[in-house]
Amino acid sequence: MPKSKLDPLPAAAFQILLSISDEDRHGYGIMRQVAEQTAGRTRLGPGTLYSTIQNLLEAGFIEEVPPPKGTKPIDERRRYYRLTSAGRRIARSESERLADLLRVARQKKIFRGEYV
Amino acid sequence: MSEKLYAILFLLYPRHFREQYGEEVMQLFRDRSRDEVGLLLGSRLWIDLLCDLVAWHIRHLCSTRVVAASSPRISVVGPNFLIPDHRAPRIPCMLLAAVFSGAMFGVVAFAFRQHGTNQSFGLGLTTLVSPTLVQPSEIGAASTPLRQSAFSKVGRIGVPGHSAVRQQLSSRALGPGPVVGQRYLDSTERQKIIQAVIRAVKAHYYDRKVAQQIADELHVSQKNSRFEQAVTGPGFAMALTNQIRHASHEKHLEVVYSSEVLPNGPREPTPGMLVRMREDLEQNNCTFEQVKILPHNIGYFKLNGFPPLSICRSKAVAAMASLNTVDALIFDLRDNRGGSGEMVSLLAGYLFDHPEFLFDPRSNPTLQSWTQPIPGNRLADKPTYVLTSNLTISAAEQFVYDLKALKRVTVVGETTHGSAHAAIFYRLDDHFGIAIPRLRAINPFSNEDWEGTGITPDVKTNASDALLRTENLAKRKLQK
Repeated sequence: MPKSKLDPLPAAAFQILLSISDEDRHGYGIMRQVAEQTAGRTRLGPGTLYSTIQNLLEAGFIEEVPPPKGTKPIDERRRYYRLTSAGRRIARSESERLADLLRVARQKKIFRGEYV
Repeated sequence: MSEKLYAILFLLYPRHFREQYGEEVMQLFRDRSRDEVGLLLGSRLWIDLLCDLVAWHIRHLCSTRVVAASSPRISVVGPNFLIPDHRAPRIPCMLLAAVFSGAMFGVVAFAFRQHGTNQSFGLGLTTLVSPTLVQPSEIGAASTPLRQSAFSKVGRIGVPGHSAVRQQLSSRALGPGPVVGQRYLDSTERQKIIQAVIRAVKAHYYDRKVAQQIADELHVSQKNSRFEQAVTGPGFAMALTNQIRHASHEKHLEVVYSSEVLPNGPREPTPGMLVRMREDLEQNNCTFEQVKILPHNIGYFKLNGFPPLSICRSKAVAAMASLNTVDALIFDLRDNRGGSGEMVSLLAGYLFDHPEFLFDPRSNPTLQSWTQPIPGNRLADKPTYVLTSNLTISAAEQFVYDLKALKRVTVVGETTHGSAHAAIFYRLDDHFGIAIPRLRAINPFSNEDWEGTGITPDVKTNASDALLRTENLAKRKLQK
């Protein structure tokens, strides 16, 4: 059986899921949100962004939705994406996995300083 | 220029990806180009794009290898790029291969261009590089002919909901269509289409002499079997387009292939659609986003469309009346997607105390081509500024172009989008249609209009800085 492109969940896919967890966004909006939530460290290129979006759509983790009400006319031709309940579950499970890793890292005293 | 460059770079992505996300990717590029200006950010943008391209291909090459290994009996018709070796190719080899491929592509493209061939590359460049050659709103809405009616005009001003309909129509009628199930044309079918093209051009193209030239060239090409290699629908459509453009030097002529059956009868707007359009416009304040008075008594009017007079006249008149006593006026068209020429005339009328001729490349001169003096208007001698961006398009460009040509406004911002003309779509058969410009209006200001080039502002600045810059300009002018 061919391996799923989203197993394990790639970082780009996880970032995209997080970026639309609070509101529907179009491609450029997702790119900007990902840059914002990673403090500018991750800028998704168009190929990565849209091929990941395609994989997420195929897996049913996100869905395409009409533009939100009150969208500027200029943004109406864009495709907007929304997190599905399956997508929210996978994002939660990935977050928990990372939280577990973080817990182990703390136990192993990988971090220095008080911020953790 | 940079957009065209990226459109060429984008061709290095696979066709299915381009067809599915081409428009979005180009929009994303435009968005980033708009927001990431300057040497540093501009360079970063291009580095990002190049890295993304390389990374994308490496990633997909690796996933292809997995598929090849897991599906040993995969049946492939035609060339394929599965890798039989269990080892991944080395990065330097791949980079070298990419350089050689790019060079070869350049040489072949150059050779084709030099020889003026009419054969198609099937690259889907029409929609990527020049989305305005044939506007979807003009094409998707109807057939035989698909008239440029209220339906298409509504599309231009971007009424919510309607654009979704337009998008649906354009993708249904003009989408490149899936490769699977694509039909192949035999010579009889091709002949039939060629004859239909000749009939349509002779019947509808505004210059009969040029129409005859097109017909003659098509006859010669047909006789010399120049279309023998164009066996797919999209390929044949592109070959025909190249041929008729070569014969006419008219870039708005375009033969279009649709993988789905084109609608039979004219698709005029239904009463329900018109009601919805009215409701949408009223909900959106006729796309008039802001009307206010800035410090120093400078009037500011941000309008994101030129909606139909029949619905929005009273709102437009009220907006202008609220600005009647200002000392300077700013029209903000940075997000304006065009619309009705009548609204252009009405608003331009406030800037003159006498009738002025306004040029519209989409129609011959009519009574509406002249502005009407407005009783009680006090704005005719006030300094006026228009803000533009590279998204300012269509009727909004008409407003800018005419008032700039009449030296009545100062244009501040970016060069506009450059979409002046429109063509009407005629159905040729179930899968082929042709876009033909119906007329050429006389331009009193110059030989050309803004099609393809846009309108250069008097004061060039980023769209995001245009308002602040204009406020300062107006303030200085008023203080003199």
